[in-house]
Amino acid sequence: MALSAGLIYEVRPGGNANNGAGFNPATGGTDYTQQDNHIWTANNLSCSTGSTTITSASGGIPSDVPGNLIKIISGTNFTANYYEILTRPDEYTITVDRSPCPSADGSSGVGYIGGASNDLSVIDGHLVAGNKVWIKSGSYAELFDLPDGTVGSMITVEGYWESRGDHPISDNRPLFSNITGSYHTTGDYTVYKHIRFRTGLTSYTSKHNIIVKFCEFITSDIGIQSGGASILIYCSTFIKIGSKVNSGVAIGHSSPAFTPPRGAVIGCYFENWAYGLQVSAINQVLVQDCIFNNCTQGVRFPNTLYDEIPSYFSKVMNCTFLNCTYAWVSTFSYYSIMSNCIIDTATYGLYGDSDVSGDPPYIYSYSNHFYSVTTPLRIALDLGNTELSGSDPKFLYNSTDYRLDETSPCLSTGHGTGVL
Amino acid sequence: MSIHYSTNWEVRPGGSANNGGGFAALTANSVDHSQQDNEQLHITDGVHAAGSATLTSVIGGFTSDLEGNVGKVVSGTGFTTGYYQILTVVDSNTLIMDRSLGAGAGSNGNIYIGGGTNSVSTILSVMVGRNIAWIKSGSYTGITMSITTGNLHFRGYKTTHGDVPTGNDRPSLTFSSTNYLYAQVSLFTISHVIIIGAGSYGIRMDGTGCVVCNCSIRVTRASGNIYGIYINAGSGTSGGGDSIFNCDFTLSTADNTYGVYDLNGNADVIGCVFDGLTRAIYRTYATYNRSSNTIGNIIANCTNGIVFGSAIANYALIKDNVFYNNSNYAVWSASNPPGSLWVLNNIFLSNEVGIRCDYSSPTNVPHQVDYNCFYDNDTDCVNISKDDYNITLDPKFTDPAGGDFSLQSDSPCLKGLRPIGFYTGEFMDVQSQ
Repeated sequence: MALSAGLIYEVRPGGNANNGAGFNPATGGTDYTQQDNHIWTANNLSCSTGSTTITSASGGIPSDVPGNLIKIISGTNFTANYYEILTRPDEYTITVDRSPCPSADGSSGVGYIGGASNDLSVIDGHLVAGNKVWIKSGSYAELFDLPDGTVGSMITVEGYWESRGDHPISDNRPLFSNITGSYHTTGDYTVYKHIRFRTGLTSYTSKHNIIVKFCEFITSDIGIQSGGASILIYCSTFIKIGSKVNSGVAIGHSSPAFTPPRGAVIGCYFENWAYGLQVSAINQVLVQDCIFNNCTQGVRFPNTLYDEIPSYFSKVMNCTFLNCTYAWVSTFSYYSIMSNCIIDTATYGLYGDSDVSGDPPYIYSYSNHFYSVTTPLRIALDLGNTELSGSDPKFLYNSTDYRLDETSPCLSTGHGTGVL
Repeated sequence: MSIHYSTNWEVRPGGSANNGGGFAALTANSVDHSQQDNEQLHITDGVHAAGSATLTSVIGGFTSDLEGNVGKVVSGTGFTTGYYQILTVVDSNTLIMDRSLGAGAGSNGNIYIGGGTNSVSTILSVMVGRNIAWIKSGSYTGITMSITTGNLHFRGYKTTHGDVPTGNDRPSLTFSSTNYLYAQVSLFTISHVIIIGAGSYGIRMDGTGCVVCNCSIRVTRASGNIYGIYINAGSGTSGGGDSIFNCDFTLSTADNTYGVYDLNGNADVIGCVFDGLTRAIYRTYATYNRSSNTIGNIIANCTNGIVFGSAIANYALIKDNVFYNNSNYAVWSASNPPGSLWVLNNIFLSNEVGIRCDYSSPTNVPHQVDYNCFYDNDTDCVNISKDDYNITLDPKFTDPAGGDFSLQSDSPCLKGLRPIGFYTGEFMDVQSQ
């Protein structure tokens, strides 16, 4: 046996790293993880060699603990780890998913059942595909390193404020406060929701199928650095602290020929980056409904490492670029399109360039509004309805509210859906 | 030399097949004489030496503003008929063209300079990569368009270049017999036109990175399957990737109708209308880490809406669409995925099934079904689960049965379903442009 895919973990500021922290609702027991303190502990655990039965001379084990984890932290011949409680025959005895004493009889074991952990980095190495971790609002200092989920069973880390699933926003989201300059790391098939980060999240080379929703990255280095395919970043915020360097989101930063970056970045806010969103070559990325504020380059395809390899098929749609030197730099792109965007105050809007062989690029503009942009289109073809010298788009309060005033010239002028 | 890559061609109902039809601003003197029905200058006494690109005429009348305009040699002894671009006006009787006018000496050259042509079919063979053909509003019949030169662009207009006509203000191209617009090469774009075909396809695209924008695709074939836009762009990481914006499809047949038939599985379909088809969008052959975006479409009264006939290799994003009254499945993924299916911010109203996945393994594809409105569907989801933010409320379209999918002022879909990131992470109502 092993820890179940159905386990749900709890991390909260008042928890303890020694607590069991996990519960499998399929067992029918009672979830004792949604509390700061353990429900039961003992320092007299014993176990025969290779057995999955643990006994405690002091007893008092609640009858409804099956499904909870017991964390054994020490003991003679005990392997310190999390174990899933399968049965509770009596108040002195539990059976668990695997033997905690594989090589010799165990004694004087110290274990805790129930209660939340206070640290995701204590749990992360024990997670298996399909697990979910709830993070209660509060501050957490450690860096985590999540393993891979699988195609059928993703690993989810979700923040909440007062009760699970309450979808917190703003500062009600839990905060991973570490600012050491290193990164949290993630595996394939992982989901992050409603969390604030103060240092970046990286998946290194070829990790894929990563979803980030309603998260906030206010960091001094990168926001998200993702290696591979099927990346969905939704309704999240990326703000660079300090000098304008690095990328809010960098997708496919390594070996693009083998891990072609694919994904969608939707409804996100980028501020003060050298590159708000940077994607390596051979990409097919959708950028929609995003705001890029005060970045040197709002979007850049391909990234600076792979200027010699073309990017493909990408689209930047329904985005706002404000006070960016370059809205979208597409140095070597084929078949990419910017549409329905507002570019307010920039040196370059859609900046194309010739490829290494000198051929012209193949990037298009369709239904964009450029206001106060020195060079709206550079080596790019207008498919129509592009306002190269548009008037003030009239954001409501410009720097803090990007909705459009009812008198905005951009209302009802972009392309939309047709009518039957 | 040859026709310059920056040449713009002019097609207009009142033009003539004899006219030059093209112009590029090659010099500071250049003035566009193609945007007119009649030729700017006609000579019948053209002369050139053997193999020479220098054209002389006693009639003459050449002025420097002709530089960059195209002349069409329609006849002449020793002339190779065709389109030639004026590089230099030497004097009122002498032109230097872009290339030799004939291998031997030529005389009695009958040449029309300037003026628009009257059919896009006549200029296809002379267009070179990056050329744009502007097609003025009007009706063009007997069209054949088999495009074998890459990077050609076709734009409809009503009154002035770039005015982006809609509806019947767009020029209509009626294809002859069973012909259809066949783009065999890459980087083809066409926009702001009406395509009327009688064969199997409205448009067939075999190249990569093609764009169809603001076109009405109408096919009138009485029987046999019909494909509004048929995509077969080969294989490899860089194959396909076509984009279809703001198109509508009227396809009549007794058999099956497909709005977009995407054999490459990675075309983006954005802002289109599909009404009463067998399958609005059919995608298959989605290998090579391909992905697709289907955004902002209206898919109504079809049998099936979006169908994935083979595995989603990377991701498939379905976002901001309206699915209404589709009699079978609005979204149907009919094969096992290694990739992700993301269904976000759509409205599913009165469909037999909203989303159906036919996976044998695994049953839990990495998916996101979120921020959608499901209402009055017989079944919302089959073999795929919803995420947190979906609602089940009447979206309150103004008149969906009548084809008006605007939202009433009290629609629950006006706010909240389409959040946008902000530094506070709050939901923001995004006003469409």
